[in-house]
Amino acid sequence: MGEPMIQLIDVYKSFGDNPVLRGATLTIERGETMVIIGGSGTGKSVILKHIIGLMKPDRGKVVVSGKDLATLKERALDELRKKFGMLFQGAALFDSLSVWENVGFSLRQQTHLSDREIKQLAVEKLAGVGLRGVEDRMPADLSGGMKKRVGLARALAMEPEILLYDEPTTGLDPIMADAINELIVEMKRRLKVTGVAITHDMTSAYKIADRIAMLYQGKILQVGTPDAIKNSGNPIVHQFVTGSSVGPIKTV
Amino acid sequence: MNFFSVIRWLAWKDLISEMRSRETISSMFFFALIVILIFSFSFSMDQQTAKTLMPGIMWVAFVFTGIIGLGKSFLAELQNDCLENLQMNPIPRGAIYLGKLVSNFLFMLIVELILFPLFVIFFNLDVFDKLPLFVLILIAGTLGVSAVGTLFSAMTVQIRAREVMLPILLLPLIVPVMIGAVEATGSVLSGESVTFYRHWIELLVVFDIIFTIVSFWVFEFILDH
Repeated sequence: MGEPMIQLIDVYKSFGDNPVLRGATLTIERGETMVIIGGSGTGKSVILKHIIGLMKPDRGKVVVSGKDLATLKERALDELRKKFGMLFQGAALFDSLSVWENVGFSLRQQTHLSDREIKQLAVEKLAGVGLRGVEDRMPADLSGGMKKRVGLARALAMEPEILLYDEPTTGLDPIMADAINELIVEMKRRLKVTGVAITHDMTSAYKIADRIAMLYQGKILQVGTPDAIKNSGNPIVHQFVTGSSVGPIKTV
Repeated sequence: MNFFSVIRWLAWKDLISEMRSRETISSMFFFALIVILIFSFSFSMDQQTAKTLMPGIMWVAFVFTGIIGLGKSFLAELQNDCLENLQMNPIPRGAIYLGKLVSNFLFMLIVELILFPLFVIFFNLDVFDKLPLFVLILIAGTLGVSAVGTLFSAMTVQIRAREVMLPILLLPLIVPVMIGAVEATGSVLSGESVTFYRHWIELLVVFDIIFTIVSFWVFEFILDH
């Protein structure tokens, strides 16, 4: 096995007096899709922000593609971020831009392509996520599922090596959620990208993950295949994946 | 996109969004209109009293109206994750600040330019020969409020009590702008010679320059933390 794509090594992060990450350690291999699960407010989004370098750990290291993010200057960090595409929970579409302009946003920022070339690429990426004929529409005219697809097309626009998914199915009905899960699996198969998703939707996690990591009290409690997590003997993991209110995880 | 294209794009994006929703400008406009109506019907004033009171009433209305707009400035970006999307792209943080400053400044100025004639009508003032001076004071005062307000808007957007925190943090800092703008407006209304109130306009300009530069530099830290 080669060098891991992403490593979190003993990462600590606090906000004021509130410790969120308390020694989180996780290795994500090239080409795999890792799904990080955990309750609301346990620090899943904080982990994603550390991976893209939007947050710096108080202690510990975040290594992406062999580079310790803490040692990188802003310009090098910007360069490294080109490896990333991100599907945001709220899709992050700019209301004032048309669909193709949203998809081509990073291309406009980071390349010297003309508008015509950007639009052509955007149309291709949109077709890749199953959207045709919507490039000139505005985000307000799209359904939640279509917005997520546009968000995914935009995440793919720069042909990233790593795709991050922030709660990819939150707010979608089960059928649309399944369609998004299918797309994520297809992207991985077709583009061989490394994926990191955070979610508490276990149906989604089982479907898209090669491995699942459970985050609890600021640490990665268990990492394993979907089957291993589903049949975990750890009472905390078991309670979470079965969605039971009875167990060691306190609800109040 | 280069630095200036980002500023232009961000300001344009906000203006287009506002033109579609008219959410911010309408709420700013109606709030200020109510202030004008209440004050104009509360006092029966001769023209001399109006000249004394109008600058204070006008700037209170403009600043509180501005706070409504400033409070919404980063909210749309936060709610649908666009702020993180901007951060993920290699966009200079300072350009994000300046883009937002331009749009906030324009929103405030547009509302002020609509309301100013209403102040003149309701308070029965004769200002037409001094219009360029009024516009200069409006621009300088509004820029000062927007410069600090844009920074604090970014700082408070993630706080649950942002509607409370923004004015609490902003108002003490813009006291010099308020004093300068009210004094300069009052002096122009009274028909004083420019030499008597030039220092107030200079105060506004110095405030604008210092706080725009400081906010520009601090913004990166605010956004990343």
